[in-house]
Amino acid sequence: MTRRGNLLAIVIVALITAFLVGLPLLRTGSISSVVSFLVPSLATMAIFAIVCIGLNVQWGYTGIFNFGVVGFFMVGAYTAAIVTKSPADGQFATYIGGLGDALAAVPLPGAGAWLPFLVAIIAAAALSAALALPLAWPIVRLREDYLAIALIGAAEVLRRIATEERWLVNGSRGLGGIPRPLAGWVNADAYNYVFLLIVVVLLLLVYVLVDRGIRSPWGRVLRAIREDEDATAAAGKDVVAFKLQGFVLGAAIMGAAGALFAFQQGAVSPETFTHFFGTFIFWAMLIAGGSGNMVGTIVGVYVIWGLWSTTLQLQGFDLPAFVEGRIPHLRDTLVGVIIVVVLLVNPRGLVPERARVSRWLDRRVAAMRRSEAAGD
Amino acid sequence: MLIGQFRQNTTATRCASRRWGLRATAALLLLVPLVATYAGEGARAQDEAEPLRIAVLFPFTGDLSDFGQPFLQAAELAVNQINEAGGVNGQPIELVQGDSATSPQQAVEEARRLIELEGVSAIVGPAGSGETLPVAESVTGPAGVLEITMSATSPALTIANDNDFLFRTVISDAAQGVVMADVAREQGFESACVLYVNNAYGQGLNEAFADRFTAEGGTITAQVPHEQEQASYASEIASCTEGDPDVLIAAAYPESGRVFLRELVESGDAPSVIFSDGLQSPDMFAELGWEVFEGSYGTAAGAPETDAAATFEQAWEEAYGEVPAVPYLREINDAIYLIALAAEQADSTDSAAIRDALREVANEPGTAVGPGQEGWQEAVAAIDAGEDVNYEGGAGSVDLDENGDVSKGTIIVWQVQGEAIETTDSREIDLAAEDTAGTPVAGTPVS
Repeated sequence: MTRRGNLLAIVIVALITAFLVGLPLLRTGSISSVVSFLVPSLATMAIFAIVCIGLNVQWGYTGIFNFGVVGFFMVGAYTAAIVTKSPADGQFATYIGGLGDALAAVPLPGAGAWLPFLVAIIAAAALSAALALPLAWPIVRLREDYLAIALIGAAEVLRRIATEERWLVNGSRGLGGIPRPLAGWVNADAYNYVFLLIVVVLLLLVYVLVDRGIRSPWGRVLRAIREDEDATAAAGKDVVAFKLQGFVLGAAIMGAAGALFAFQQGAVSPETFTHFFGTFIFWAMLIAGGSGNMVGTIVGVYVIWGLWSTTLQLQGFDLPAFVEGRIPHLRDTLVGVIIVVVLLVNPRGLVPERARVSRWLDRRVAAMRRSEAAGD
Repeated sequence: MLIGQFRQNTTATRCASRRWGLRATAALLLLVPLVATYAGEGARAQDEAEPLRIAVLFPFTGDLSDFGQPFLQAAELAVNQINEAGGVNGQPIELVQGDSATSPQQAVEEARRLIELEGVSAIVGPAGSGETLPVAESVTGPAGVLEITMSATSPALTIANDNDFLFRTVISDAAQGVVMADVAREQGFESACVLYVNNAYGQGLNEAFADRFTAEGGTITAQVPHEQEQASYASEIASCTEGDPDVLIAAAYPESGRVFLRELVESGDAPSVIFSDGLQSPDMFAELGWEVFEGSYGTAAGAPETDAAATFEQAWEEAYGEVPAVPYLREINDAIYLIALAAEQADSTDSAAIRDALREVANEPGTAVGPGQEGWQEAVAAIDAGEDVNYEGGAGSVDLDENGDVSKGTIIVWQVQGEAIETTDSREIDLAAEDTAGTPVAGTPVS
């Protein structure tokens, strides 16, 4: 089972990589075009990977069935927009905040290029977490099916608020002109590379922090809750408090990812944050990749988003009209097929969670085996 | 249940997954800066002998998918005419397609593909303001690629952060709202309810209509926003008909219109309806039954009664048969002609050079030139002779101001007659003049 699962993962990742690099190369025949095309795509993937790590904390490790990812993602994006933008002039847009100018004026070296963005990411994570806390209070007490429904509702309420309340974030017109971090420091041509670097650094930071957290005793409690709440409670752990922490941490990570998404897009509007784009896709990534495994999460993002964006490139090739008109539907089908194949071959995802309590225990077991072998 | 299944099966897994996963990630990360050095060679060399490549980024799927195919036909019409008349800089234009899916995220992805992989010099589209804004701010603006939208009418685009690479050949929504109000008053309606799609398009129309209608002595009973693609609009319909308005102003898209118009009719004592251009869909009326809306009026950004407009219609009829009652076909045609003319004038396929020449060929002074094969040949002859040209299109004079907007336009009034949508009237409108005349028009771009 394991070997088959791994082989499948390698084959699929290799296939996606071949498509990601091969199709653009076939189309343009120029490596530099392929690179300048792929760099923003990789940045998108890194942002989505951060969202999925947040979801992985909630579902993969704590077992909270969050079907309202888009709500936290959107709150993060909007927070970043109103923190970094200049105050509203009221002519074409009305919104609260607009702290960009004030933060740029802080007497720190080059503050305008980095301070508003750092504040924005922290604020996005904080606001998302602050929103998750009251939501989670009643919600973590629900069973997982009811919880999913409650969170779908919560996300929809947030989206409606963003659509209706013009004084808050300009309603359905959305917010444009979101500044980009470090844009003043680098050449516009090189900006996409710098942005990729920023998001990859943040992805690594989130990865390491969450990975450490999950390996710690705290993380073991989360996984224990996921497996059996009653047994964990019987062991003297405050199940509700731990679930709350897992949920809020996940929401904060999603909020931070939303901030990066806003910087990348330059404009956000409620139309962007549909349940399909903001929730379903991330679930597909997590399930296909392997929930409960950090590497699996990232592999899932790579595979699903890679498939998503490469199918669009088929439009650039001379295909029979029969296929050409069906490309968008082909894509939906392929994502579905991948999920079904993964679930059939290895229900725990392409890179499944490793069943172990702690790596210290692993080392002990390995040492014992070695000594046994030596004894023979 | 299904959820539980993902977690079962905790047999020990001793695998190299972690190691290869790390390796793959590391390889990927190494690859980027390595190959990036190649990118240092610089942007794609723009050779003068290269053909001009223009992309269309149209909604072939999603909420506005009804419009995708006719939009494409309009673009192909212009490209074929120009190519048959000798092309741009002696080369035929190549048209490339992208699907915006009526989704901002996908529009951004597609714009990036069109620029980086297809190497286009200009993009026509996307259709909606919600898609156009992120595309302009995160892709075409930073990349310095010309983008002309034929239908995104939100006032917010006027001040978009686009490095002056975003233009539009369509007048602001405000113009249509003004004419809708005029039509409503002319029909003798005293009170109106606006049922508008809750996005930039619907909001702009709603505000312009309400301001004009009240200024002309009418009463607004309610302004009800609605979301797209809902299963039912019963509560929106109820809050709209509650105040017993004489007329319901429907500013929406066909996918939603199909649902709420049916519910409106089934609710019994429905008021008269005036439709926005988004609902100018023959398919929708056929589905709902033409007879139900017999005599109802609608508006759309439309064609002035000029030679250029006649040329467009004639060419369309020769190529595809009757001109469908779909909005923005002329604006698309004009966008292609403007890009081609600017490329001819600049004698280049470089996007920035085309942009720099765009206002020269669109605005006065200059010899007036129009669409069509003959129009193109005349224009090329004039440019070769070193004359200034001023393009006058099928949709209007398309004079571009400093923000890349047009303020002068034509709004047509259409009516459901029998089993067809017939144009009954055509009105010239200048939003800049409306402002100075003291008529308050909300959300009008200051130009």
